[in-house]
Formats: sequence, structure tokens, C-alpha cells
Amino acid sequence: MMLTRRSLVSAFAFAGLTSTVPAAYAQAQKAPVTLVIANSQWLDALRGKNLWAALVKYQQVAPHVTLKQEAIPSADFNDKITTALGAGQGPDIAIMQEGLFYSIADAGFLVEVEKAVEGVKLNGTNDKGIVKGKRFGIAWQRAVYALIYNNKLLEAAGAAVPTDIDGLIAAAKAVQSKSGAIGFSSRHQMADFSGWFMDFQNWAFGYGVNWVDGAGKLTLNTPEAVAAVAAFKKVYDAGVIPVGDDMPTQRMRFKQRQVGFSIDNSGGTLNIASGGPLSSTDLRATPLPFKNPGAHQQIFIGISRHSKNQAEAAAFLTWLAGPDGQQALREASGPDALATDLPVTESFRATNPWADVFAELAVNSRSTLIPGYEIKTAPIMRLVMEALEKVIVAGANPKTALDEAQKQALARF
Amino acid sequence: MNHLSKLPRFLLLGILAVLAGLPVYWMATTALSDESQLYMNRQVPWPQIGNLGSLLSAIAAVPAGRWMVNSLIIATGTTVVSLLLGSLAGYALSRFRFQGRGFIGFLLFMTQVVPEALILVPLYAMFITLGLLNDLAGLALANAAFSLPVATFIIKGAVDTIPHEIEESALIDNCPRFGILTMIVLPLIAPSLAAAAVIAFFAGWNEYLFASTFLMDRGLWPASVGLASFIGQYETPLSVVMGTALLFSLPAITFFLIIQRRIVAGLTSGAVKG
Amino acid sequence: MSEQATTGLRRFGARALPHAFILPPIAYLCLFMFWPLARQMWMSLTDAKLATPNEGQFVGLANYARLVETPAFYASLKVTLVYATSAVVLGVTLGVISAFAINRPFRGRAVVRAVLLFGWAVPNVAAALIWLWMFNERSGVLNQILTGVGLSRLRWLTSIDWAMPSILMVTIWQVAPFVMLVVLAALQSVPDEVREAARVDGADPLNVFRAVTWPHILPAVQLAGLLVAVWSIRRFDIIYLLTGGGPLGSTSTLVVRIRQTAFEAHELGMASAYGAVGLVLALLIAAIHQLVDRRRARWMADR
Repeated sequence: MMLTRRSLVSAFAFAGLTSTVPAAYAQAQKAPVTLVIANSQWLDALRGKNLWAALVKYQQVAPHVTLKQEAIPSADFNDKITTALGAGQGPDIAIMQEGLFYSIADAGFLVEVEKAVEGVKLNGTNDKGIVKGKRFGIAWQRAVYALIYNNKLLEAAGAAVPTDIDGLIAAAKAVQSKSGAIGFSSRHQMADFSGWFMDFQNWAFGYGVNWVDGAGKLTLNTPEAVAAVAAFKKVYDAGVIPVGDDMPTQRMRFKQRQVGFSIDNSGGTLNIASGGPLSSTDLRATPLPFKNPGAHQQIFIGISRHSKNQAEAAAFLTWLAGPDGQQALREASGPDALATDLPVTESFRATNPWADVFAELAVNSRSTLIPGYEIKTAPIMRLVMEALEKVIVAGANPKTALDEAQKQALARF
Repeated sequence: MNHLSKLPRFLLLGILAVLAGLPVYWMATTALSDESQLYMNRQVPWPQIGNLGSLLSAIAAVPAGRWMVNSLIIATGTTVVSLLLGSLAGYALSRFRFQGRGFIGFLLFMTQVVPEALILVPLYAMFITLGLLNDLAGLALANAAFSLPVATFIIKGAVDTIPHEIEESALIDNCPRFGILTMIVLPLIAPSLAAAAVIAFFAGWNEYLFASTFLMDRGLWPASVGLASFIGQYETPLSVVMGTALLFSLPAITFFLIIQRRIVAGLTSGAVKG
Repeated sequence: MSEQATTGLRRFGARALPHAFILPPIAYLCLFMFWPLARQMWMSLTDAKLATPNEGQFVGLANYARLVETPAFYASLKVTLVYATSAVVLGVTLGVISAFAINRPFRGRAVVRAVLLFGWAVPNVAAALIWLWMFNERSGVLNQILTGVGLSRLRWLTSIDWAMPSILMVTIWQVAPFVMLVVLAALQSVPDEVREAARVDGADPLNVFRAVTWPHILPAVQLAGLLVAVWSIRRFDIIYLLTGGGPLGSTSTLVVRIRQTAFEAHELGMASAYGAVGLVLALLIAAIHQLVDRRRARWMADR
């Protein structure tokens, strides 16, 4: 354009205008804001500090924002968040397991976040963040399950890496008799219900179970389900599970090199691999000993509708989904899958050879929630786990127990 | 009781003390063990003082002191409210004949059956309205609702056993009822007051559900919530948990010892005789 | 003021006095207990959900109808009754024995008394954790003692036979100190002169006990027993932390079911219905207590 006087003036005017807009914007943004982020992971011994340090990097980008932790023990997390949100209180941002995320999204307590993550290349882990057609959360972490084992114990017992249930029993028994360590670590008690039913989904999905049929009706007693229950009973009866130990105790034993095999998710495995006598290179992973892909635990992050700082929270979410946030999160998340396809760091893979298997399994893993009954998954699975408990503790027949569960499920749901 | 001679009594006491003390002794032993010993079934059956240093530093890594102060505040508040209102109610139920007396006794009793979980949601909503959320005083008030009836029953029972004559002379002198209560009756039932105080204190000290639901700030956590926060999703560091648990049990017992000795000493130094 | 007016005022004051005493506690309880309880009972007539507690639709007695048809409900009722009864009988017995054992002064009494109090003083979470560890099949001290004396290991918390006894063990450990405390307070206020007088009159210790001590502490024992009974209906933390209501629901009391219904299935209305049943149960216990109390009063009057 010709450098006329008029254009020069308008050019200066425009420059003046655009220079004041960021200044005005910055001025308006200066009002200090506190964002409360609730998560049970803040209390995790090893991970909590790292994860928080990753998030706090946002304060450098947005100095007027202060991030504040709300740490709630994982056993109480669901109850407390639901009660708080139901009463119009609660944190600004919550990091929650799938089940909780679904129920509060369904109850309308979360804010739509589609705009906040516009233009971000979200991967498949975010799919379930869309509830009733709207995106209410993005993936925080996805922890897939695999079969992990102590390689030293395996080699000492001369056992082979199992690819099916019978192989698992044989290998576990071999480890047990050779070294006196526990053969196979698994949840098996109602006291552990909230973790047990998620763990058991691996068995169910592994045997091809869909808890609902094509028409969306609940089918708890399909032949596949019976097979899954029977398989668990087989392992339970083999005497390789430390009956009576809860999962944290079993993980501690694994850390002390007292366990041969376990089915665990990447978060639990990360915990086992760090901070104990077990060296992370002795810990190996292999696909689950089932025909079909297993499950994963998914954590979502969402913004509360009751938050007084929704815009700021959305800005935070944008940062988190962006390259800086994802990079920070990646370094603290070990082997878990994130909202974007950021691969596990090389340094991590070098010291944790088991991480690669988890990455492969993450491609096909399934959610632990029952499609169409997401909010009701816990009480429905309680019927299934009570049936399983009858089978392993009282020797009931798997088919009969599951038929009973089916009957009750149809009556209640 | 003088119908039991010395040896059987001490034997009995010994057995009782072992039964009562074994878990606490085991807490101490576990607290002072190595993790590897614990999980490899090689737990040493006596406390290994050598591990005391690492235990203390592990405990120092969490704000255990802050937690205990919070517990103290809640427990004290619970006790004060329970005793104040409980004295009023207990005395009234014992001494006055008024309409609705039986009904009130029944109401007080009903409070003891209510599980905390049952009133959690409405209480939460009310606390929001009253601005008592995230407040230690709010917790004391919520706890006292459960301890107050117990204090009332205990105090009523104690006042029942005091002969009317003691108050009558004061009444004839036109002493106000309230004064009779505070200056004559309460000192006479001191052991029961102490018992009620201990019950309220322990209830406030140990309460978990309300504390974990109504508090947002980690800095306000009482000991019960702090302890629960150790139960991680992935691991429960047993020795540290046991050490902290032991630490948290001590103040409650100390409180009892202080109260009991003071008041019982005051009593036996000559008041009731003749 | 006139003579009449002052006596009138005084009489009004005398009549109002009980109410002045009783009003503050009752008002306080109405605010913090009865009002929330009433709201929750109202919820039992709706289908309120945990996330939307105020938006439940009125459904009348539908929750109760469903409750009556749920086998888990009857099971939990039975478990609650067994648990409460056992806790009372064993807890009160042990508590009374402890109170008597510790009543006479001796050197180191304060220490022993403190030890006996431990079960009551230890916070629930801590108690659950240490007992969980003691009950542990592989590494727990109880099984180690058993194998040490040549018996076989027990599945303390995972077998249907031993789960409830294990829970009772922990409960009694926690509750007996409370009974001891209440009974001890009563024991220590037995007027010494009366006891001395009876002894001087030549009565032997057993008769002194029966005639003087026992009637004096009976109200305290009754109160303690009553409270232990109703608290058993209410107790949650220990049971849930130790067994989660399992195995096979053998330790699922009413409160455990309430929690599961409210916080797992999010059915707040249904959970309130369970709660209402618990309250009725307590009413029954109260009624029984009244009966026993009246019988006792008659027995006392007869002596």
C-alpha cells in the first residue's frame, strides 16, 4: 500500500490500538485468582509431589493465578466431591476417576470445555469425556492394565512367561515353591470392592464379556461371564493369592520382592517400581493372559459449574492440554497415557523396560464403565462381585451365582 | 471392691492389661520395624529403638503437630459444649417435674442411634447456610450433638443419686437454682463429670466422617483425617502410620489422666464424708 | 412492686425454670440433629440422589416397599442384631469386671488404668489399621501366636465363620473401656460409710456387694449397656475398614448398607429408608430398656 499520510496515520492509530489492547487485557487479568484443584493423587507418596510441581509451572505463565491443592484421601474422594457439588460447593477443578466424572457430568455439575481445548490434537483417551453430546472433561491420565512379574523370581524358578490362565497358575506355583514368595497378587475381597471390580473387568473383558447385549439390556450371566468367574476361581483355588491382604499390602510385598506375578495398572506398577528394594529393571510386563484386550482406569479433569473462576480455570485447562502442560505432565506421569499423544520419555523407558508393554496395550483397552449404565456401574458390579465372592468363598456354582445376580440386576436397574 | 483378695485381682488385671495393651504394643513394635521385616514375615516382636530416628523424621515430614492441635481444638470444643448443655439438661431431667420430660429423654436417646452418614447431607447444606463449613468450631458443634445426650444421661444418673436434702437447705436460703447447680451439685458429681468429659473428648478426637467432609483446607485436618491420608491408593507405609497413630492416641489418654487425678483428688480430700 | 406481683413473678419463674434449663440443650439439638434428621427422613419418601439431594420426586412408601423385598435388607438386620447383642453382653461383662478390678488403689494404678483405656482412646483409623495387621494371615501376630502354640492359621477376616467374631473382638476392645469408665464413676461414688456400716453389721463381702454396691451401680451398668447397644447399630468405620461388609455380607450391618446405598449407588432416598428402619430398631431397644428399668425400680422398691 502506498505510504500516504493517511495510511500512515491509520497505521499508527492501529498500532496504538493494538498496543493498548494487550495492555488493557493484561491490566484486567491482573486481579489475583486462586484455583482450587482437588485430586486424591496429591496424597500419593511418590507421585503427588511430582504431579503438583508439574501443574505449578502454570503459575509462571499466568502469575496472577495461584493454584491451591485440595487433597482428599482416595477412599473418600467420590463421596466428598459428590456431596460438596450437590450442595453447591466444591473445588474449581476436579481430577476424578471415570465413574465419578460420569456421574457428576450427568448431574450437570461440570462446565463444557470444548472451547478451552479448541485446536488441540486430542487422542482417543478423551472420547469418554463427552457426556450427553458435550465435552465436559479432558483426559488427565489413562492407566492401562497388564500382567507384571518379577523377572528374577521367574528366572530362578525356571518358569515361562504365561500367556494364558493355566500358564499363569503353573508359573505362579513354580515361583512359590522355589522361593517361598507369593505367586500371584490380586484383589479378592469385598473390603477392596471399589478397586476389585475395576480389576475384575480385565478378566471379564479378557473372556469377551459385554455386560450389556446389543439391545442395551444388562446381561450379567452370559457364558463368557461364567467363564471369567470360573477362571478367577481356578486361580484362587490354586493357592497362589495371599488371601486376606489388601492391594496396598500386596504392592508393598511386591516391592519387597516377595511377589511373582500381578495384574496391575501402570500407576500401581510405577509405585511398585519405585522406592523399594525391587529394581525397576527387574520388573517386567507382558500382555494379560486372556484372549481379548483388558481394561484401563481413566482419570478426567473437569471444571465445576459452581466455580467462581470458570474463565481462569478454562485458561488453565488450555495450558494443560497444550504442549507445555502436556510435557510437564508427561514427566510426572511415568507410563500413563495422556490427553495428547506424547510418548513416554526416553529416560523413563530406559530405567523402566516394562513401560513399553503398557503403551502397546493402551491402544485397545476398554473402559471399566458399562456402556449405557455408566452411572450405575458400581452397584451393578457389586452384584457381580458378590456372585464372585460366593463362588470363591462358599464354593457356589458360577452359573447359578451369576444367574442370581442377573435376576437382581434386572429387578433393580 | 473388697470382695476380691489381692492375688486373683492382680492376675485378672494382668490379663486385662495384656488384652487391652497388645494392640498398642504391637503398634509400637510395627512402628519401629523395617518395611522389609514387616512384609517378609520377619517382624521382630519387640520395638527396635534403633529405628526411632527414621520413624521420627518420617513423622516430621507431615504436619503431625498441626493435626494434633486441630484435633485438640475440636475435642475441647466438643467437650465444653457437651458438658455445659449436658449439665443443664441432666440436672433438669433429674430434679424438675415438667411436661414433656419423658419425651425429651426419649429424644435424647434417639440421637444415639443416628449414624453420622444419615444426617451428613442435610447437615452439610445447613453448615453452608450457617457459614460453618471448613471451620473447626463447626465440627465441634456437630460432634457435640452426639456427645451431649450421653453427657446428659450420665449427669442425670449422677444427680439422681444425690439426696434432695443437700439442695433443700440451699433452696430454703433462696439460692437460685443455677447457683445450686454450679456450686453444690456439680462438685458432688465430679467423677461423672469427668467420665462425661472423657467420653465427649474422645468422641471429638476420633471423629472422622464430618471432619473429612466439612473441611477443605489441609491445614485444618485433625489427626483422624491426617492418619487416613496415609492410606494411599497404592501403598500404606505401615511403620509410619503406626508411629503417627501412637502419637495421636497419647493426648487423649493424657487428658483422661489429668482430669481423673485432679477431680478425684479433690473429691476424696474430705467433701462428702458426714 | 406489690407482694402479689412478686410472688406471681416468682411462681412464674419457678414454673419457667425447668424450661430455661432444658431449652438451650434442646434448641441446640434441634438445630444440629433433629432438623437434619427430619430432612433426611423426608428424603426417604422421595427418590433423591446423592448429587441432587433436593430434587427428589415424592414417591411415598416406594422405597420402603422395595426395601422389604430386598434380601440384603433382612440379612443386614440379622447381622446388626447379632452384632449389637454380642457387643453388649461381652462388652458390658468385660467392662464391669475391669471396673471392679481397678477400683481399689494400688501402686501403678494410674498406668494400668491408662492401659485399659487404650481401646477407647485409639482413633478408629489407627485401630482398624493395627487390627488389620494383627489379623493378617501371613504376617499377623495373631496367626503367629497360633502357629507358635501348634494350632493352624485362621482366616480372621476372610472366612464367614471368623469375620464377625473378629469384628466383635475389635469392638469389645474399643467399648469395654467405656463401660469401665461409666461403671467406675458409679463405683467410686458408692458412699463408703454405707459400705462400712454394712460390713460393721457383719455382712460378708458378697452380701455387701449384693445389697449395697450392685444396686448403686446398676443404673450405670444399664446406661452403659444401652449405649453400647445403640452405638453398635450406628458403628461404621471399624466394620467398613476391616471387612467392607464382607465376606458374603456376614458383617454388613444396617449402616454398612446405608453407606453403600447412599454413596455407592447414590440413592439417597433409599438409604434414608434404611436409616428409618434403624431408628425403629432403636425404638424397640428403648422400649425394652424401659421395661427392664421399670422392673428394676419395682425390685428396688421391694427391698
